[in-house]
Amino acid sequence: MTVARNQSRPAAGWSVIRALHRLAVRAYPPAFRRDFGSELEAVFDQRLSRAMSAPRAAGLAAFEVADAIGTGLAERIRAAATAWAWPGRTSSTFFRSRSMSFESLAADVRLGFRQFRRAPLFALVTAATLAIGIGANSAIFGVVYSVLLRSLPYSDPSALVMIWSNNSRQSEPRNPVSPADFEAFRAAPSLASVEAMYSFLIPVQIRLGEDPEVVQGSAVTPGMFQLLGQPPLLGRTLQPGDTSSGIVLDYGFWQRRFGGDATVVGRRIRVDGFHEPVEILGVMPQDFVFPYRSMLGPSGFSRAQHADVWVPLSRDRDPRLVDQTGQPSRTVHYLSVVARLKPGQSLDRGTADLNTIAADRARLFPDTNAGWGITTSSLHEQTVGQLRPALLTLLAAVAVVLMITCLNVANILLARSTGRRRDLSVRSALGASGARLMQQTIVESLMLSIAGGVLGLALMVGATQAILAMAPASLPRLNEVTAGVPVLLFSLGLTLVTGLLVGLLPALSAARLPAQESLRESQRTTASVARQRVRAGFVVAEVALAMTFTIGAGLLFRSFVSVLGVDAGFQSDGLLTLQISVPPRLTSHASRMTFYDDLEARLLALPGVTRVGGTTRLPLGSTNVSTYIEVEGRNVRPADRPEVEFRRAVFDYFRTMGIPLLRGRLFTLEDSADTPPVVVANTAFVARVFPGEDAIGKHVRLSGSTGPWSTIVGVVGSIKHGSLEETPKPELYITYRQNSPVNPFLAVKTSGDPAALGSAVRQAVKQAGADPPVDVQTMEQIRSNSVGERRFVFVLVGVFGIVTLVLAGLGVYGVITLVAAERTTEVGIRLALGASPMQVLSLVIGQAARLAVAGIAIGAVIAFSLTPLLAWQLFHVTPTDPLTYLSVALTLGLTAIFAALVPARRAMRIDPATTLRN
Amino acid sequence: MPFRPADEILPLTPLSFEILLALLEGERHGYAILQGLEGRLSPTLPMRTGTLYRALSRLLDEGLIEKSAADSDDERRRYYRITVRGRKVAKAEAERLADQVAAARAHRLLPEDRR
Repeated sequence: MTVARNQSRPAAGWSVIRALHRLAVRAYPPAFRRDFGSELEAVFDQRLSRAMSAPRAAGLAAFEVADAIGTGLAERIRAAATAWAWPGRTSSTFFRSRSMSFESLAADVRLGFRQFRRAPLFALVTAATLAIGIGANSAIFGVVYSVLLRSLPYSDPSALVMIWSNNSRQSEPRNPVSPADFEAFRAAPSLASVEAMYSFLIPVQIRLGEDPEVVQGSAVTPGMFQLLGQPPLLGRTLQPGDTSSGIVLDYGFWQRRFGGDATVVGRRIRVDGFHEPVEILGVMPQDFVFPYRSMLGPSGFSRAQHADVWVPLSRDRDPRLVDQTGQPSRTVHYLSVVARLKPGQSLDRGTADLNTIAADRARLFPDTNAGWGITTSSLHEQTVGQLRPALLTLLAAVAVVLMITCLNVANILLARSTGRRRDLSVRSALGASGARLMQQTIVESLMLSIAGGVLGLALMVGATQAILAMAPASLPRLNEVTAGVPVLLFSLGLTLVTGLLVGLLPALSAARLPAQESLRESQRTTASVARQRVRAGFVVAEVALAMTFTIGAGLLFRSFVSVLGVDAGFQSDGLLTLQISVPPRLTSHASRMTFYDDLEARLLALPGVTRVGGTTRLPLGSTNVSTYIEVEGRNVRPADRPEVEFRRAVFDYFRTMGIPLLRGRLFTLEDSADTPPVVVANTAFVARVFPGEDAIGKHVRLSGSTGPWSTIVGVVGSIKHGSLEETPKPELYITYRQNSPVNPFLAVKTSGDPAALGSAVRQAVKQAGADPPVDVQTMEQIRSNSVGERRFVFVLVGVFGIVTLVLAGLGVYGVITLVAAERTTEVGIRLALGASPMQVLSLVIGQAARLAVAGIAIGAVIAFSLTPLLAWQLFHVTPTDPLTYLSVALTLGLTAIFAALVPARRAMRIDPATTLRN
Repeated sequence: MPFRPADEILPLTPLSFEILLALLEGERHGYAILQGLEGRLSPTLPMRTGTLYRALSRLLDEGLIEKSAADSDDERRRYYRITVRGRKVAKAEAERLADQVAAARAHRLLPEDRR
């Protein structure tokens, strides 16, 4: 059958198509093209010329070109895989083997057990190494899952949002909401319900028995529980329209104080601030938490983390919520507002509605609301959003640990497979296909990783406990961390992935074994060049990872140390702090002054006590209250007035705290309710309100007040109140002698150990007639707690850093040992030729040093590009801090050299005569 | 190179089997095999040149077909023919298929063969 050569040639346009096809044929591998290339083109030509019509021809051409490219690439892949894995054979023999079935799986497992029994140390060390990586990852993931991923304990939590007021002039992007604005927000059409609570926890004094107790309470609007949607464990919750008052108990508080007694529901107890006994309405379930710390006011942090009771918020009981005309106040901002979106409405929609309302109000009430808008966030984001960067950093850190672990184990397995070549050769000669050998190796590594995973579970439990114990109380949702199903699934998945990863290269190398090399006696214990490169590559990668990681840890360490050394503006040594309540029966200012004087005398009389002071807001240890002030002589409308932080100074506050007086005078005993009101300001206040002027003698008063003006009599140094890392805010102090607080913090300065003063101070307070003080801590403790979050991250990263250093060191040790063993003959020759042992030592160490230097250099480059990501966590340290880089490089280098010492010394002691004889 | 035992190659792909069938009558060149297959199979198996030659390459590797000696440098004259081994394998495959068809008949998937 011949082809009609004189068939009319297709039109010239076809030559383009033919050229295209020729190009497509180039997709085939060269060998295939040699064999069939021209034939392919000829057949294509023939088909093309036989096409019935132009469209048919075009269609044919398109399909043929596509097919050529597709099959060509497929051929290339197959040829490459075959050539690499099974030189000299065709790919079909690589893949097909009748012995791939579940029976083979069982045989592999049995074989694996036999291998491990023969080398138990290897199996144990490998499993333990994997356990570290898997366990640490599971523990951190457990924390991340419980804190970040799991939904909040409310009904349909994704529809819940938080609403904040914001003003571009203010320093904080989120401010509590004023009562009047809150009422207005309720009209937003896309919101199903809007409720509010105080943006801080309040001390609630209850009387259960003889002595009154102070518990932490959250004051919420009556509809709040319905909005959250979580049903109570016992009884009922606050409801809108409740005429009589009631309180709801937290589960933990109920267990602690009432022993889980179910009959408390319905009982009436006396609560401070309520005229009649208040009924206990119900108890909330154990997993219910509200509010989370981050849902409260944005500035400062409170020692109180958890509400023990919920009390109703009402205008009647809180005069601050209304203004002089009895309307909801427009100027005081201290509500945290929670809202539920209507089904189908989005957060953007709700935000738009609220923005409209805020804009309307700014037009209606320019004096108080001008410039005030709103910001919103989902409740989940509000609760845990701040923590996301820190937790993700930890997750990344622990992933690096796992990677180094995998590299280590892969190296070990790779080295082992070199020694098992004979074994593999025999199996291959007996008919095991490449894929079969791969399977066996993968099964082995999976078995190791499963053993590691099981051990890792134990490690995870222990690690989780340690993490929880170390975590600062301010970390939200930590008490909800449990090793639930998702964490176990994660751990299992990680185990399997790890097993596959570490087994991959050894498996591929096992499969490469050509059957021809079967039973020859040459026991090649030297790895091929390629394998040596892979091994070295692994170690360099390990060192690089360790370098990057440890640099990050080092930067965090330096930041931590910097924060610790920050000058807070006051002295925290030798101070014991506590919070007291003035006996409620003392309602007049005069009676309270008597109480205070008595208490002061008692405290000063204690042995070792040098000074006594107090304040309504303790630096680093309590919330903040900010307010707006009016300056006499300046005609500024309320919305534009400066925002300052407001405190009362009790006793000899400034000198007790070591806050320096810079101008004017401090409060004295002469300042009293009968003398003109005076205030003391800090330097930040002066810079903000009276820049360039002398503040002494100026008159200020609270915005909206109609009382007399207060005179600034003194200027004190600025302190860090919210945290050691913030810039000091403007503060205004008034004296207790002119305005007596009911729940002040006291600070007692002693020349001895403040912690030992606790019981004496309690005694003194009791004798003065007040209820027992709460939150008795030393100032040093408070200061230390204030860096709790930073310390938490740093400690964890630090631990991981040490682990990575150790692992990298082990990696170097392992590889150098192998290399040294392989070069025994070479070393023997060198020694015989007159090389000194020191030269041998430097030879081996030099090899380790080369690996280390490569890894350090690569790690430094990676760190250079990645550490700016850490910038948010750094304090007074740049991401490219040379000191850190150098010291980490030095440490790693020394670790590597140290790790190489043992094999190096062994190499030194080689007896050349023995090696040469072999 | 040594070939694998016949029973390790089975089952053949449909395309490979069809190619062997086509060559049972005698040697053919690529285009003729293509035409024959298109006649028999299309539209169930749209015949692509690249796919065909891949299959031919496989069959060559397995030793089931061989290139004909005649005029192998003229691309249009390159013929393929089935080998003895190829016949054996084709027969084995046909038997395998027949066996499967018989089982299908037993389960009444196909009507009884009345021929």
